[in-house]
Amino acid sequence: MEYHLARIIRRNIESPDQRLRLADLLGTISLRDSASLRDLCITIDDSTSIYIAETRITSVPDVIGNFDPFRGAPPQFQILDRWRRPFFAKKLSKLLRPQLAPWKTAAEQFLTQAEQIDPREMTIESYCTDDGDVHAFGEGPQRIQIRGRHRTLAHLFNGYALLIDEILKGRIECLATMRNIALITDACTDQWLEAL
Amino acid sequence: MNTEEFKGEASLDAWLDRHHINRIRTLATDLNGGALGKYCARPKFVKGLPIGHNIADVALGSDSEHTPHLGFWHPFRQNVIGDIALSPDLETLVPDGKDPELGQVICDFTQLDGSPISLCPRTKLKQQIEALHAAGLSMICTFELEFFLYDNTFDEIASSEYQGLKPVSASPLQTIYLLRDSFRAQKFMAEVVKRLDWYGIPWEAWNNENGNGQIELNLVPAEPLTMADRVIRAKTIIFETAVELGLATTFMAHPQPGFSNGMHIHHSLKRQGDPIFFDANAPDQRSELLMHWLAGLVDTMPASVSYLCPSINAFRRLREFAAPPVTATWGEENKSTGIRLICDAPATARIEHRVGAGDLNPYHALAVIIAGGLTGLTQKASPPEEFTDLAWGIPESVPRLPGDIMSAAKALASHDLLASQLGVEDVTYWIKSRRHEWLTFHRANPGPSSPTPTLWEYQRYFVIT
Repeated sequence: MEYHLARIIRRNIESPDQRLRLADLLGTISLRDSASLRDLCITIDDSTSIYIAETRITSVPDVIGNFDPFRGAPPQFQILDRWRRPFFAKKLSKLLRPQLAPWKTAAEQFLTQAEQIDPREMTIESYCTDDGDVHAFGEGPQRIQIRGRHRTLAHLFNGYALLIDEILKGRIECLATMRNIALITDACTDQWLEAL
Repeated sequence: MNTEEFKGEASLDAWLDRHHINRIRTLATDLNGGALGKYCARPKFVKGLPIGHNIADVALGSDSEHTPHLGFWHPFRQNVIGDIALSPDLETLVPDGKDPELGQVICDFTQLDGSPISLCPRTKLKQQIEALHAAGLSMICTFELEFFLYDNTFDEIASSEYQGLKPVSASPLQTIYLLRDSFRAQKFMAEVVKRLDWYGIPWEAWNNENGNGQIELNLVPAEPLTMADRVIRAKTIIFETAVELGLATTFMAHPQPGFSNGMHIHHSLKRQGDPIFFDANAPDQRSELLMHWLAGLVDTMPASVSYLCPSINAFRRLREFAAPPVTATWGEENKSTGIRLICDAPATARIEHRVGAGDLNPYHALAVIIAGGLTGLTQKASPPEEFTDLAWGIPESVPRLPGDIMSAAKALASHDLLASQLGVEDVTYWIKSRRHEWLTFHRANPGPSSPTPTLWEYQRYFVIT
């Protein structure tokens, strides 16, 4: 969970669109994960760095939510009373909520960067079952078809889900060999672990 | 049918007849050191020779709870999940002794045409032995097997969620070599060594070790493939004897706070049958070849931790002052360093590699040690200075060994020379399998920061290792 959060926070801080200044946040944020019931303390050191550590919260936490990195979706959370002031709450929300690129943009970026995926070997067609939108990648003889809802595809290609998990959970239909499912899942794992 | 002479008999059939064997149990070791195989009817076994019987390809591509590796790939696997083979090494065929109609044989994972699969741990060791032989060298080695013995059945332990373990020990103290504690385990160990004798596995000694209920068994040195086979068989015998006597054993690396199972590996090298670590004319009687070999072992030690400590649980063992080493260091008669050198006489000069955990796969462990030593020989490397102090509690300027499964995998990934010696494709798959283990652990969310072994670790490692 810590790694998951670290990745989200790092991306948000590095993003030029977010205009997040650490100095705009309070020095300490306590967070409870509703899935594991584990508590984390996020400490902001002036404007230079953020530390995440497991802790035990004795009072009301600042944030409660599902930060389970393996649920196949970004965290869902609620900011509690201490952050009544909208300015802080908005900044904190920006810090913890991942930015998702549109699924086709994310798919292009993911598939281009994945070293396991050779566009001369595979043709990967992704279909959005909500609107019939299609993304195609590669021109190889091995055809792979990935079908899912808009949101699921966005989560998958933005690095919040693993292909095999989504297939096993019934959220994605996939026509492919075991090898190609494994290779794409491996690329998902690489993307997921990039912050480690 | 094999009609050629077999182990002193006119044929394999004659040998099976003379030993009254009607069933054969095949055994191969998966990536995590688990013993897999089948009980085969004699006609089926004989008919399948020389290639052996089929087994699902995921048997070699599964994690320690036998969930197939679906999230990464190795070319040995079939595109849509199929079969490979377990090919018997008939040199290892022995009568069980206890079951009068059963034979036991050790196998390699191969393709269905009998071609080798380099990922197979036993095949991996054979490759490294060949490389050693190509350098004009041979190895003699042995393992120290440490395990815990409990006066509970496996069922009782599982149903109590691994609490209330009752160590087989006369005293509640953390004794070592205490004969009264050993005597409490004597009935069990008498059965164990009897079966070792039946299998033709020579042993030297056993004693109670420092953990409550812990036993150490020492085997007579042998060449690496034979020794790794014997370790797997000895572990199987220890498990089965415990089951038969209503007891439980575990090789889990860290089954209880404060005490761990290690698997120290002693080895020496020979050229044309002569030991070559000791040189009376060299400084400190250490031969030039020994120093190159040692340099390779020390240099590759952080990278080799991934194979020597393969599980999540194994890293609980690597703690300062807890007996296992925590640094990539070496020293003469120094049991706190990663490598203890004993260079006192030509016939007994040897290296004790002390990093290995009780749950290691012996084929992998010997393969990575040989590969590491060979990198030192190839480069004619010199080892770092000998460490003459206690190698615990020392300044942080002395780098520590990787402290968790992911750090160990990264150390392995970054050592190109070792990966090249072991086979890059196989090393890459191994690294991904360790990443899978880490992800599985965190996915289960058993409390990754827990100071004591979690239920997840017990359920995953207590029996299987």
